Order: sequence, then structure tokens, then C-alpha cells
Amino acid sequence: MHGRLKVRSTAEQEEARRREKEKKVLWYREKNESIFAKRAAGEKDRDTLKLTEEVLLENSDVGTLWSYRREILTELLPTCSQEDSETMCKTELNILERCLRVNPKAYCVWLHRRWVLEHSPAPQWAHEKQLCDLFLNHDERNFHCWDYRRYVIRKAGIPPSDEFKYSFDKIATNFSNHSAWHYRSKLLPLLHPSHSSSNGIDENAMKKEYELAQNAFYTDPSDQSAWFYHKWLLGRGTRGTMIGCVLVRRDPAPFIAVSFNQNVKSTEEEPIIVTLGDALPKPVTDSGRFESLWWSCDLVFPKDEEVTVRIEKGDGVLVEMSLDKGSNSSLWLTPDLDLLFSTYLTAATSEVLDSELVMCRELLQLEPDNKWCLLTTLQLLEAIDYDKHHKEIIDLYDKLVKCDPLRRGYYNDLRSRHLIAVKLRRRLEERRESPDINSFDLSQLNLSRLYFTQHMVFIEDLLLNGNKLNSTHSLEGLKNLKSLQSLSLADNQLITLPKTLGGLTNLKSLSLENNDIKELEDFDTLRSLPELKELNIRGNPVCQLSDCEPFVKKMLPNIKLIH
Amino acid sequence: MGTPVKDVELPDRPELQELLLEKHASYIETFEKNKDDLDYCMTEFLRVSGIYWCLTAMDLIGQLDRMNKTEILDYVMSCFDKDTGGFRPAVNHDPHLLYTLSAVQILILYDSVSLIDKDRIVSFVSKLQQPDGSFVGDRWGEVDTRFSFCALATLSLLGRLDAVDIEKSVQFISSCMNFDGGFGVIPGSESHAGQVYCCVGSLAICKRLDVINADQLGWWLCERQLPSGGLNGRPEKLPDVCYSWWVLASLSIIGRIHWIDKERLTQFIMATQDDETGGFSDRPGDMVDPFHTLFGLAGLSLLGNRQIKGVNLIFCLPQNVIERLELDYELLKE
Ligand SMILES: [Zn+2]
Repeated sequence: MHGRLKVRSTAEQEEARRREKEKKVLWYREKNESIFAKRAAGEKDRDTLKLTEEVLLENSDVGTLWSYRREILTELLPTCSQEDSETMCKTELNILERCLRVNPKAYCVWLHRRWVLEHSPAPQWAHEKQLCDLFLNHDERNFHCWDYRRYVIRKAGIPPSDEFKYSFDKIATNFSNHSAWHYRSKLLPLLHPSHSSSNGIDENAMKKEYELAQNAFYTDPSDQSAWFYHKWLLGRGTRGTMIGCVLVRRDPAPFIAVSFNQNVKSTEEEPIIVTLGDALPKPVTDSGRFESLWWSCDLVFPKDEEVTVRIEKGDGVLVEMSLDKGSNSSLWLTPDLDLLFSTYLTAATSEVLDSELVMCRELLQLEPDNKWCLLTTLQLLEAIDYDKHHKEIIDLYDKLVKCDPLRRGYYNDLRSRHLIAVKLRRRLEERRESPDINSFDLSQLNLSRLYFTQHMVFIEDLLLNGNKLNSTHSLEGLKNLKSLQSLSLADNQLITLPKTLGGLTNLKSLSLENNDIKELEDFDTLRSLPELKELNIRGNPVCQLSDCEPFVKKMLPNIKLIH
Repeated sequence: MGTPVKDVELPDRPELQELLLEKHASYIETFEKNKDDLDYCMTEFLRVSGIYWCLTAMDLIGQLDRMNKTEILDYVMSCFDKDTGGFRPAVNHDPHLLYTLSAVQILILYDSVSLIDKDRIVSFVSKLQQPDGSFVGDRWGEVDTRFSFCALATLSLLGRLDAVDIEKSVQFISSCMNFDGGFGVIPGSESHAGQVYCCVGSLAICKRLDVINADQLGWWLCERQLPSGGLNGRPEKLPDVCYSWWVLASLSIIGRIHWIDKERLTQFIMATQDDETGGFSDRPGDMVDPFHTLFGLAGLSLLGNRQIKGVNLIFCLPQNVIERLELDYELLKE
């Protein structure tokens, strides 16, 4: 039940209401009983139509009563004259309209209306469209009516251009009409298709839509619908699959890891295929996994020999590399590091990005604290050149957190992703020049979450101290760090130890200094780390416990504990 | 200028800052006993779902034993339609996917699935799948992504997902995706948080969350939070407690629950308690009902309230009940 305000009343009013309700319950039950008795007896006549009408006008949500009416009409309509059946359908539509006026969001009423029109000898689609106009004037967001409208339009053969115009009129009346913007997004590709543009929509038509969105921004810059629409025009920010790096290692156990720019699945239709040397290609399907790092320890490399490795996935994803005789590991890095981290507004050309940026900057002059404009500006900057505009982007994120604190979690994550992208790209470029680089410094950045860790699969030494990492999900990415030997999580906000730590089997040294870990049992996770030699837990509440040291030492007998 | 933000103000009532567990339990208990109440009568057409809301709410606050198990199971079983294999919402009414899921949820909650002929239900559900992968709710042919969820969740709970075409189910759901990353009732329909939950839940059951653009959808979902702390179901709509569930569960499935302000949402949900009668309403000051009581409690559970049992994101049953079944589904972590 929605939107029923609780009202206070006197004892007298209360008593009168109680009696009235009691009467209504009796009435409702009696009517229903006789209806269901008739139905059980197989009665399908006009009296029963009358009876169900009475109840439905009181309670139009009862789907079964509408079903019963359909059963009766199915029986009666074929036996009537054309005129008579037209009248019956008309009556039915009248009842429906009365119900809709009271209860415009009843699924079964709209369903029944469709059924009646499908079974009418002469359905009046023009009238139905008028009904939609009327109901959408009354409630411009009623999605039942919008869906019914699309059905009527299809049935009536009304061209999409008329409806495109209608969506414009609705938007012009109220720029906040998300339903109308939505409708536009469905009609635009139908009306202005293009084979040459990247999103299948004609570029001139797109230009007009940018203008429309801009008009909306200038009328009310805090209307979210136009901003969502604008983001859609620019493109979803998705791209095809590409490989970031491939790590191949002989010792201590044969290991191969492939990092992708997004989560992938290795399915039967599109498996990851690995070919080692002259061996046969091996499709590796593991449909359960959906991750950005794919790895395997199942492969056998020929000992002390050079081995070539070929990775394929779908069309156009292909890496060929080799592991030299005598060397233990080899790392392949994509030549397109830029692409790997850049956000990509699929639908927009660089001229569009530039002109939209100009528009946003102008709007920001008038509305310096408008979060929608701040976010769009920074997304445009990221798409244009995230490295070059790094400083401005960070400032914009900081400002967004202040202007729209409810969504700080969202902005902080995006900010972390941007920062890590910038740092990691630079680090990978350095790594390309000096193969002995295996450390990475992400300390003191106020990171709220780890991103792109799949491309850090070769990193042995990682500094994450001085961030705002506080929960299991913020550290989920640790699971990709398959080469990690030393990790600092000092000066974060960890309350508990993430389970993902237990998977870092090469880890030798771990610092958890100055966090908020309270429970000794948490350290149980670390038991699965055979190489762990040094553990720093100084500055955690857990250190105050009298049995802290003996407990941890008993659990992890071979480590040096700093507490 | 455009329209002002639609929202509500939270009443300044310290007595609502506490979770009124005992009041909620007694509200639900009385609701189910008070069969002559007008609201109870007028909502007969969804009775089996109503029972599911009540039972799950009670189990989440550890009060399930206050409900009459024998009577309830008898009633639910009397709603089983032997001809089709579906469940009716109430005796005399027609069987439908919506109530079939609710009935199965009740049977699972009471660990009583052995009472039913699973194969009959599986056959009812699988016959409702259409060539395009969608599901109709019953023989009248209404298509809705809610029904996709009901079908897939029912089959998953019964361990019989193999009975339908999963690939086509996924294709149909994908065809309902919109410009804002959300999902609607049918292809072409506007995004709505309730439908988003149904589609995201379905994809999680099918282990096909790869279909979703999680950042885009997560953004749209976290924008449902209003200054009052409450969540709405679509842009420019009023906040409503039931969306605490639809939005939060969707965000959790895609690993982005921290994109909203949990504390503020908690305050909003708490303010929808009725400290006289018990129960939760859609918005502060409105009439309470079992539907919003369940989703208020389930929302608080997702927000980490320790007084309430953990709730399963996909099936909206207590997590310990789902763990008993060892179901397989997908959650996004990155
Ligand atoms: Zn609600």
C-alpha cells in the first residue's frame, strides 16, 4: 500500500469507521462468495458480468475477477451480433476507464484493456491514444500508461516521428520528465539510423540532441534526466576486450596469468586459448569465473628451453611472447597502455568532446557547485586526456564529494580509479624500460578502493599505506596480486582482515600497522601463507588484549611479530 | 526553473531511533490473526505473497515461532493447483507465477519442500517461457521481467534451472536494458528500481552479470538516494521504504552498496516505523503494512543492523535458509 497517510481521529469517528469497515467486509465477502460459486458452476452470463463489475469497481486489483470476465466474454462475444458485441466491448472499456481513474497503476486493468481491444470487432485505436494522452497529462510518469501507449502506437501504425515529436512536447512541458527522455532514447536510433557512426545514430540528429540536453541544463541544471541522457549520447564508456599484460613464470611452479581491461568469461563459444610451443592449442573454459585476471598453474613448460606462448580470446585479441631459455619469468605488456586505462565515450568524436567541455565550463561559471556539471566535466576531461588533466580531475572529484556528500562513496571510488590509472600507466611504462622493476608505490593517496590490480600481477612489493581502505570489498582486488611478497597496509581503516589476503601465497612481509583490527581470530586468514616471515600489527586495538602476542605466535609460529 | 526535488522531511522523533523489534513482531502476528480486517480482506488476491512477507519478516527478527506453522502450510498447500502445477494467491483465485514463487519461498523457509510435487511446479514454470525467452505470468499472456525473476528464482530454489532456456532468458532480460543502464518491464519500458532488482537478480541466478554495465547502473541506482536519506524507484519520485530493498539489493549484487550513504538511509527507514502499532510504512507518517515491514527490515539487515538476521540478496529469505540449500549464483565483486 502506498501513500496512505495515517490520520488521527476521535473515538467516535473511530467507532463509526469500524462499523463501516465491518459492513464492507461482509459485503465484499458475500459478493466474492457468490461470484466464485457461479464460477465453480461454470456460469458465464451477463448477470455475472454485472456482479464482478460491482466488486472490481471497489477493488480493481483482483486479477482473477478480470480473468473470469474474459472467460465470460470469450463465451458470449461469438454468439452476439456485431452491434451487440461492439456494445459489450464498449461497456467493458468504460468500466476499465472508471477503474483506471481510481487505480491508474493496476497491472491487471491495463492487461484486461489490451485483451478487450484484441477481441473487439472494431478497436478504436485513435480513442486509445487519446486515453493515453489524457492519462499522461494527469500523471506524466505512469509507466503502465507509457507501456500501453507504445502498444497502441504499434497497433495503430503511428509513425515513430510523431512519437518523437510527442516526447519533445513532453520534455518541453517539463524537462524533468525522465519517461519522455527515455522514450526519446528508444526512438532516436529508429528514426535516425546510421551505419557509419559508432553508436548507429546519425551525427546530425545527435547534434540536435546535444542542443536539447543543453537547453535543459540551462533551464534547470539540477534535473538529472537530461544529464543521464547526455551521458548516453556520449556513450557508455565500454570498449572491446584487450589484454594488458601476460606473465609467464617457471618457478616455484609453472604459472601463467593474463590481465584483461574488463571482466571476461572463458566460455565454450569464446574460450581463452593458450598455445605453448609446438603443443596443440588448449582452449581453457571456466564459465564460472567472471574476472579481469585469468590465470592457471595447470600448464607444463618444457624445462630449460625457450618456450613460445600464444594467448587468444575471441576475435582480435592475441598475444605472442616467449620465455627465454635460462630465464625464470617473462612479462608481456600491451603497446597501447593509453587505451588500457582511458575511459572511452564510445559515441563521441573528439570534436564533440571538446565542444561539450566548452559548454560545461561555461555552465560551471554560472553554477559552480552543480554536481551534474562537475561530474560531466571531469568525465569529459578523463575521456580527452586523463593524464594531462590529472590535477584538474582530482580537484573536481574533491569538489564533488563536498557538493554531494550522499554519494561520496561513488566519487571516492571513481577518484581512486583515476589515480591508480595515472600512477600505474607511468609505472608500466617504466617497467617496459627496466625489467627489474617489481615494486609499486600507491601510498598516501586517500584511496577508497583498489582498481586495475589485474595489471599488477607481476608486482612483488606494494605500498598501500596511508589510504582510506576500510573494508573487504575495497581490497577485493588484492586477489590478483599473484607475485606479491611484501605488502604495506599501514595507516588505513581496516576493521577486519580481508579474506583475499589468504590467497597471497608468496607473501613474506605484511604490515597492518595503525589500523582498527579488534579481533584476534582475524589472523586466522594468514595461516594459509607459508612464506610469511614478518607481521606488523602495532597500533591496532587488538594489541591491547593481554593474550595477543601468545595467541598470534601460537597461530603463526614461524613469524617475527611486531606489535 | 524546473521542479523542486520531490522528497519528504524526517520527523524529529527520538523514540523512532531505536528498532522497535517487539512492536514489529506483534504487528505481524496480529495482522495474520485479524482475518476480519478490511485491509486483510481486500488484499486476499495476494494472500500467499502476504504470508511470505510476514513469515520472512518474523524469521529475520527471530520470531518465526509466533506464527502458526501448521495452519499456514495447510493454507499454502490448499492453494496448490493440481491441474497446472502453479500456486493460487488464495483459494478460488487463479494460479500465477507471482504466487508460485511466494509459495515456494514459504515452503523453503519452513524446510517443507517435501510436501510438494516439485516436478509439477517445474512444469508449470517452464511452460510459461516464450520463444523469445520471456516469461508470461499465467495463461493470459502478460509479459514482465518480474515474471522472469519469479520463474528463475523458483526454479533455482527447487534446483531445477535446467528446465528452461537460460541463454534465451538472459537475451530477453538484456533486451530490456535502457539508456540509463537500468531495466524495465518489457523491451522499450522505462527503468524502474523494482524491475532492476528482478533483472539483476535473474542475471545473478543465471551467472550472467557480465551483461550489466555495473558502473552505469550503479550510478543510476545511487542517484536514487534523496536528501532525506530515503531511496526512490525512479528519478523525480518520492522515497519509499520498499526501494531500500530493491535498490540496495541490486547495488549489493553488483558490489556497490557503499555508493549510497548507509547511515542516512538507516535513519530514513527507522523513521518509517510506527511506534504505536509496530510495522513500517512506505514513508514517515503513512499507514504500515507487512510488505513495507519486510522490506524495511530486510533493508536494515543489508545495512548491517546486527539485531536482524542476515538476508539473502537474491531470494530475500534469511541467509541461513539459503545456505542450507547450497545454491549457486553470481555476485560481482569488482
Ligand atoms: Zn513501497
